[in-house]
Amino acid sequence: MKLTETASMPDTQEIQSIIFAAIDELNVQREADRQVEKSLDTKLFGKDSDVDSLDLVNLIVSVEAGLAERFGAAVTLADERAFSRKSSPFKSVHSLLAYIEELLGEDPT
Amino acid sequence: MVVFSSRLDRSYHENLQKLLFFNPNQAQVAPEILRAIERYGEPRIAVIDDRLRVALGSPTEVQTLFVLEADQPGARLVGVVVYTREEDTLVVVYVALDEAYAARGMKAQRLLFLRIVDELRSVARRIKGVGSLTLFCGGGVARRIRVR
Repeated sequence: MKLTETASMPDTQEIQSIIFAAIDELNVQREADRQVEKSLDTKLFGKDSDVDSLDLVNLIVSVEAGLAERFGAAVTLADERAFSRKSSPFKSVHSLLAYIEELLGEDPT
Repeated sequence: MVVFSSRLDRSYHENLQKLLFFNPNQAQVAPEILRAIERYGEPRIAVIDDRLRVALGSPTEVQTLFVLEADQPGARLVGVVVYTREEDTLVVVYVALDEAYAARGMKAQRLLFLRIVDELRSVARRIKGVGSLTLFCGGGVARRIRVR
Protein backbone atom coordinates (compact mmCIF):
# COMPACT_ATOMS: atom_id res chain seq x y z
CA MET A 1 0.00 0.00 0.00
CA LYS A 2 1.38 3.40 -1.00
CA LEU A 3 0.15 6.93 -0.77
CA THR A 4 0.36 8.76 -4.06
CA GLU A 5 2.65 11.75 -4.33
CA THR A 6 -0.24 14.20 -4.32
CA ALA A 7 -1.95 12.69 -1.29
CA SER A 8 -1.34 14.27 2.09
CA MET A 9 -0.65 12.25 5.19
CA PRO A 10 -3.74 10.86 6.83
CA ASP A 11 -5.52 12.71 9.53
CA THR A 12 -7.51 10.88 12.24
CA GLN A 13 -10.59 13.04 11.66
CA GLU A 14 -10.54 12.36 7.94
CA ILE A 15 -10.26 8.62 8.44
CA GLN A 16 -13.11 8.77 10.92
CA SER A 17 -15.19 10.69 8.37
CA ILE A 18 -14.51 8.00 5.78
CA ILE A 19 -15.64 5.28 8.20
CA PHE A 20 -18.74 7.25 9.18
CA ALA A 21 -19.56 7.84 5.50
CA ALA A 22 -19.34 4.07 4.99
CA ILE A 23 -21.75 3.58 7.92
CA ASP A 24 -24.12 6.12 6.31
CA GLU A 25 -23.96 4.12 3.09
CA LEU A 26 -24.72 0.94 5.01
CA ASN A 27 -27.62 2.54 6.86
CA VAL A 28 -29.32 3.45 3.59
CA GLN A 29 -29.85 -0.28 3.07
CA ARG A 30 -31.12 -0.92 6.60
CA GLU A 31 -34.49 -0.35 8.22
CA ALA A 32 -34.96 2.81 10.32
CA ASP A 33 -34.93 0.82 13.56
CA ARG A 34 -31.73 -1.07 12.62
CA GLN A 35 -29.40 1.83 11.94
CA VAL A 36 -25.73 1.38 12.84
CA GLU A 37 -24.58 4.08 15.24
CA LYS A 38 -21.81 6.40 14.08
CA SER A 39 -19.65 6.14 17.14
CA LEU A 40 -16.12 5.00 17.88
CA ASP A 41 -17.60 2.52 20.36
CA THR A 42 -19.79 0.80 17.77
CA LYS A 43 -19.02 -2.92 17.73
CA LEU A 44 -18.60 -4.40 14.27
CA PHE A 45 -19.14 -8.07 15.13
CA GLY A 46 -20.01 -10.30 18.05
CA LYS A 47 -22.97 -10.56 20.38
CA ASP A 48 -23.08 -6.83 21.14
CA SER A 49 -23.08 -5.87 17.48
CA ASP A 50 -25.98 -5.17 15.18
CA VAL A 51 -23.76 -5.54 12.12
CA ASP A 52 -24.13 -8.84 10.25
CA SER A 53 -21.45 -10.58 8.16
CA LEU A 54 -22.59 -9.09 4.87
CA ASP A 55 -22.83 -5.62 6.43
CA LEU A 56 -19.28 -5.93 7.70
CA VAL A 57 -17.96 -6.87 4.26
CA ASN A 58 -19.94 -4.00 2.78
CA LEU A 59 -18.58 -1.57 5.35
CA ILE A 60 -14.96 -2.63 4.89
CA VAL A 61 -15.24 -2.40 1.11
CA SER A 62 -16.78 1.09 1.36
CA VAL A 63 -13.98 2.21 3.67
CA GLU A 64 -11.36 0.84 1.27
CA ALA A 65 -12.99 2.75 -1.59
CA GLY A 66 -13.15 5.92 0.52
CA LEU A 67 -9.48 5.66 1.43
CA ALA A 68 -8.50 5.11 -2.18
CA GLU A 69 -10.45 8.16 -3.22
CA ARG A 70 -9.18 10.46 -0.48
CA PHE A 71 -5.59 9.34 -0.06
CA GLY A 72 -4.88 7.76 -3.42
CA ALA A 73 -3.99 4.64 -1.50
CA ALA A 74 -4.94 1.14 -2.59
CA VAL A 75 -5.56 -0.30 0.85
CA THR A 76 -6.70 -3.86 1.45
CA LEU A 77 -8.05 -3.99 4.98
CA ALA A 78 -9.33 -7.54 5.09
CA ASP A 79 -6.35 -9.76 4.47
CA GLU A 80 -4.25 -12.32 6.31
CA ARG A 81 -2.33 -9.62 8.10
CA ALA A 82 -5.52 -8.35 9.73
CA PHE A 83 -6.92 -11.84 10.34
CA SER A 84 -3.79 -13.06 12.08
CA ARG A 85 -3.87 -10.33 14.73
CA LYS A 86 -4.63 -11.48 18.23
CA SER A 87 -7.02 -8.59 18.68
CA SER A 88 -9.10 -8.08 15.55
CA PRO A 89 -8.89 -4.64 13.91
CA PHE A 90 -12.55 -5.08 12.96
CA LYS A 91 -13.82 -5.38 16.51
CA SER A 92 -15.09 -1.81 16.65
CA VAL A 93 -15.01 1.46 14.75
CA HIS A 94 -12.24 2.60 17.08
CA SER A 95 -10.01 -0.43 16.41
CA LEU A 96 -10.67 -0.13 12.66
CA LEU A 97 -9.63 3.52 12.72
CA ALA A 98 -6.44 2.70 14.64
CA TYR A 99 -5.61 -0.07 12.16
CA ILE A 100 -6.09 2.23 9.15
CA GLU A 101 -3.90 4.88 10.75
CA GLU A 102 -1.24 2.26 11.28
CA LEU A 103 -1.41 1.05 7.65
CA LEU A 104 -1.40 4.52 6.15
CA GLY A 105 1.37 5.68 8.44
CA GLU A 106 3.73 2.93 7.38
CA ASP A 107 6.86 3.73 5.48
CA PRO A 108 6.17 2.54 1.93
CA THR A 109 9.81 1.55 1.49
CA MET B 1 -7.67 -22.42 11.20
CA VAL B 2 -9.85 -22.64 8.10
CA VAL B 3 -8.79 -23.86 4.69
CA PHE B 4 -10.39 -23.36 1.30
CA SER B 5 -10.91 -26.11 -1.21
CA SER B 6 -12.63 -26.40 -4.55
CA ARG B 7 -13.10 -30.12 -3.93
CA LEU B 8 -15.22 -31.89 -1.36
CA ASP B 9 -15.51 -35.60 -0.79
CA ARG B 10 -18.99 -37.11 -1.12
CA SER B 11 -18.88 -38.16 2.55
CA TYR B 12 -19.74 -34.50 3.31
CA HIS B 13 -23.06 -34.73 1.47
CA GLU B 14 -25.22 -34.45 4.58
CA ASN B 15 -23.14 -31.58 6.00
CA LEU B 16 -23.36 -29.68 2.74
CA GLN B 17 -27.09 -30.27 2.55
CA LYS B 18 -27.52 -28.95 6.08
CA LEU B 19 -25.39 -25.89 5.38
CA LEU B 20 -27.11 -25.01 2.12
CA PHE B 21 -30.73 -25.91 2.76
CA PHE B 22 -31.31 -26.12 6.53
CA ASN B 23 -29.28 -23.19 7.71
CA PRO B 24 -30.83 -21.22 10.61
CA ASN B 25 -29.24 -17.99 9.35
CA GLN B 26 -31.02 -18.14 6.02
CA ALA B 27 -34.12 -16.40 7.35
CA GLN B 28 -32.08 -13.21 7.84
CA VAL B 29 -31.11 -13.04 4.18
CA ALA B 30 -34.25 -14.55 2.66
CA PRO B 31 -34.86 -11.67 0.20
CA GLU B 32 -31.28 -11.95 -1.10
CA ILE B 33 -31.62 -15.74 -1.50
CA LEU B 34 -34.89 -15.35 -3.37
CA ARG B 35 -33.32 -12.78 -5.68
CA ALA B 36 -30.42 -15.15 -6.39
CA ILE B 37 -32.82 -18.04 -7.09
CA GLU B 38 -34.80 -15.83 -9.43
CA ARG B 39 -31.70 -14.87 -11.35
CA TYR B 40 -29.56 -18.03 -11.24
CA GLY B 41 -31.95 -20.84 -10.34
CA GLU B 42 -32.11 -23.03 -7.26
CA PRO B 43 -28.88 -24.55 -6.04
CA ARG B 44 -28.65 -28.33 -5.90
CA ILE B 45 -25.94 -30.73 -4.86
CA ALA B 46 -24.38 -32.84 -7.57
CA VAL B 47 -21.99 -35.77 -7.16
CA ILE B 48 -19.37 -36.05 -9.86
CA ASP B 49 -16.52 -38.56 -9.62
CA ASP B 50 -17.11 -39.01 -5.89
CA ARG B 51 -16.80 -35.26 -5.34
CA LEU B 52 -19.53 -32.86 -4.40
CA ARG B 53 -20.29 -29.70 -6.27
CA VAL B 54 -23.10 -27.21 -6.27
CA ALA B 55 -25.00 -26.78 -9.50
CA LEU B 56 -27.76 -24.34 -10.35
CA GLY B 57 -31.15 -24.79 -11.91
CA SER B 58 -30.03 -22.63 -14.82
CA PRO B 59 -27.39 -23.00 -17.53
CA THR B 60 -25.01 -20.73 -15.57
CA GLU B 61 -21.62 -22.39 -15.07
CA VAL B 62 -20.58 -21.98 -11.45
CA GLN B 63 -17.59 -22.74 -9.27
CA THR B 64 -17.78 -23.77 -5.65
CA LEU B 65 -15.39 -22.99 -2.85
CA PHE B 66 -15.72 -25.01 0.34
CA VAL B 67 -14.42 -23.84 3.71
CA LEU B 68 -13.20 -26.44 6.16
CA GLU B 69 -12.18 -26.09 9.77
CA ALA B 70 -8.79 -27.73 9.66
CA ASP B 71 -7.75 -27.37 13.27
CA GLN B 72 -10.01 -30.25 14.29
CA PRO B 73 -9.83 -33.89 13.28
CA GLY B 74 -12.25 -34.69 10.49
CA ALA B 75 -12.11 -31.17 9.00
CA ARG B 76 -15.64 -29.88 9.62
CA LEU B 77 -17.37 -28.13 6.72
CA VAL B 78 -18.14 -24.58 7.90
CA GLY B 79 -18.82 -22.63 4.74
CA VAL B 80 -19.62 -22.79 1.08
CA VAL B 81 -19.58 -20.12 -1.58
CA VAL B 82 -20.87 -20.44 -5.14
CA TYR B 83 -19.63 -17.98 -7.73
CA THR B 84 -19.62 -17.43 -11.43
CA ARG B 85 -17.81 -15.29 -13.94
CA GLU B 86 -19.76 -12.58 -15.75
CA GLU B 87 -17.50 -10.79 -18.21
CA ASP B 88 -14.86 -8.95 -16.13
CA THR B 89 -16.22 -9.79 -12.70
CA LEU B 90 -16.68 -12.78 -10.42
CA VAL B 91 -20.22 -12.76 -9.05
CA VAL B 92 -20.91 -14.33 -5.68
CA VAL B 93 -24.18 -16.20 -6.17
CA TYR B 94 -24.65 -18.00 -2.82
CA VAL B 95 -22.83 -17.99 0.49
CA ALA B 96 -23.64 -20.20 3.46
CA LEU B 97 -21.82 -20.07 6.77
CA ASP B 98 -22.00 -22.38 9.73
CA GLU B 99 -24.06 -20.81 12.52
CA ALA B 100 -21.02 -20.55 14.81
CA TYR B 101 -19.28 -18.30 12.26
CA ALA B 102 -22.22 -15.96 11.68
CA ALA B 103 -22.02 -12.38 12.96
CA ARG B 104 -23.27 -13.24 16.43
CA GLY B 105 -22.01 -16.82 16.58
CA MET B 106 -19.43 -18.25 18.98
CA LYS B 107 -16.69 -17.97 16.35
CA ALA B 108 -17.70 -14.62 14.88
CA GLN B 109 -14.27 -13.20 15.73
CA ARG B 110 -12.76 -15.46 13.06
CA LEU B 111 -14.49 -13.28 10.46
CA LEU B 112 -15.16 -16.10 8.06
CA PHE B 113 -17.10 -14.04 5.52
CA LEU B 114 -14.29 -11.49 5.28
CA ARG B 115 -11.81 -14.36 4.82
CA ILE B 116 -14.00 -15.77 2.04
CA VAL B 117 -14.00 -12.37 0.32
CA ASP B 118 -10.22 -12.19 0.67
CA GLU B 119 -9.88 -15.67 -0.84
CA LEU B 120 -12.21 -14.80 -3.72
CA ARG B 121 -10.18 -11.68 -4.39
CA SER B 122 -7.11 -13.91 -4.75
CA VAL B 123 -9.01 -16.25 -7.06
CA ALA B 124 -10.20 -13.29 -9.15
CA ARG B 125 -6.69 -11.84 -9.39
CA ARG B 126 -5.47 -15.12 -10.88
CA ILE B 127 -8.03 -15.03 -13.68
CA LYS B 128 -7.01 -13.07 -16.74
CA GLY B 129 -9.53 -10.38 -17.63
CA VAL B 130 -11.24 -10.34 -14.24
CA GLY B 131 -10.90 -7.08 -12.34
CA SER B 132 -13.57 -7.23 -9.67
CA LEU B 133 -15.71 -9.27 -7.36
CA THR B 134 -19.45 -8.59 -7.20
CA LEU B 135 -21.53 -9.14 -4.09
CA PHE B 136 -25.25 -8.58 -3.80
CA CYS B 137 -26.04 -6.71 -0.62
CA GLY B 138 -29.28 -5.68 1.06
CA GLY B 139 -32.01 -4.56 -1.33
CA GLY B 140 -30.32 -6.35 -4.22
CA VAL B 141 -27.67 -3.65 -4.54
CA ALA B 142 -24.65 -4.96 -6.43
CA ARG B 143 -21.36 -4.05 -4.79
CA ARG B 144 -18.28 -4.27 -6.98
CA ILE B 145 -14.99 -4.85 -5.20
CA ARG B 146 -11.86 -4.10 -7.20
CA VAL B 147 -9.28 -6.85 -7.01
CA ARG B 148 -6.34 -5.29 -8.80
